[in-house]
Amino acid sequence: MEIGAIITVAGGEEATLGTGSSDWKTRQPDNGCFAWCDVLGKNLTDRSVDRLRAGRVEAPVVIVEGEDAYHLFPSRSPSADKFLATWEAAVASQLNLGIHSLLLMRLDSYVDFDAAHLLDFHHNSSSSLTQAYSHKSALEVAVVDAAQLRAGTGSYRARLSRLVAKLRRYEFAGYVNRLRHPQDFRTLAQDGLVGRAGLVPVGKEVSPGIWMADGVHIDATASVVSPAYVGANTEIKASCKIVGATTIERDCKIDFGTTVNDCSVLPETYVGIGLNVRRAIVGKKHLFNLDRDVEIEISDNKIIGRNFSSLPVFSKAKSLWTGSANSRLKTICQPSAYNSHLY
Amino acid sequence: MDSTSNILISLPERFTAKEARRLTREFEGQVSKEHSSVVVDLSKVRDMDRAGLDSLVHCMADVIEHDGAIQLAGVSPEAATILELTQLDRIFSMFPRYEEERLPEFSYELVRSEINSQVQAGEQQPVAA
Repeated sequence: MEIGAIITVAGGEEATLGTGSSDWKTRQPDNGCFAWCDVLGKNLTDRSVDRLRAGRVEAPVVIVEGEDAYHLFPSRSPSADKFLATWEAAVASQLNLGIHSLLLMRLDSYVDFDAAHLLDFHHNSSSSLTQAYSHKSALEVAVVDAAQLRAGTGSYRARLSRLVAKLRRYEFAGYVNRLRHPQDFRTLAQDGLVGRAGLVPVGKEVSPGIWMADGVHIDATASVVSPAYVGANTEIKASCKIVGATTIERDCKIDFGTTVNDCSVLPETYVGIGLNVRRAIVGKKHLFNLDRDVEIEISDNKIIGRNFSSLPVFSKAKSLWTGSANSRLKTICQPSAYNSHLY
Repeated sequence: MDSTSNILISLPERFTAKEARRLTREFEGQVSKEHSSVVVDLSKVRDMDRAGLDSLVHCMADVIEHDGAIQLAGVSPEAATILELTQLDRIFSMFPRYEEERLPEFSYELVRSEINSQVQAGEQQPVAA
């Protein structure tokens, strides 16, 4: 049975940072909306695509809403515009594939749902439209009968609108994070790290609760306390302390002597020397302090900035230099002289 | 002649290299007396870079040299976050704190928006909460 899917990413892909937490949903530090932010090595959009593929959906389509907010069912959204035209085209393309059911998903929150289970429920209940609910509150996940969409007249959103009256509820009892506040984003990372949410960290569990992706470089004098996640190609320099269920995403650099406590460090972030970063979400130019509920822009890239060594050109130059330097060092040093691990 | 001076420094919203240079330049002339009491008002600060932080440390060093005391007042959440991040909060917390209602009378006020030092002898200046 062919299953199609459309994932709608809430908020703009190219969003820039706002101030305060009110626009957190659509504007994340340095990374556009939260759906594009890496959590434990992979962004939530890619994770949703993986989840759908595991649930028999062959080729999910991902479309981005832009700056305006919509609904899971676009018939409830404001007047027609570019996004709605894109949505209509996406539905048409899925229906042309000869699908039996169309799964609609809007990435406005994180839901640990089992796509196969939802699809089975939909088929067994013989309903035209099934929407997931959690604790009597609607989730942005639904399945619609493709035949019903094909048979109707008018726009697809109008056809969908006529089916809403026949909507059947699928009660979901699993993990849901509404991502209403930056704290929720941090909680999601922590829940994934300790296994409360189904976000499997990308990498290996090198010791109980400590996950590391490929190419991580941690100085021997640095300490990483469980649970923790260190993303691909991240470098943690001497005397650093990583504590408090901290997650550090790919291509970051935590410089000498810095303590990172109970933080989510977003990809490609440089965290400077001798800092004390606690209870925060840290991006390339911004820091959101969770206790004070305040976001600050950091103009000084020696404190917090972009990790330029993560850029491909720098990485290549570094690997060339490291390679030649190591080959020279090996001729004059004993192996025990090296004080760093490469995981 | 009075051997003490009380100075209020009101920092602007953006306290970076340019403002830091002017603060350092003007502060040097004001803290020449022994036992100076300096209160730095950070209530307006939204952004500080290393130059700004350096100038605060420089002011603190000057005050210590003259056996005085320095206190941060009305610290905004943004300034508090930056101070905590750079661990300067620990250094400034070493000084005894004034009660808010018992702040000293300020002999000088460095108003950073205008970068002027004005003699305000005998007139108590409010410090933002």
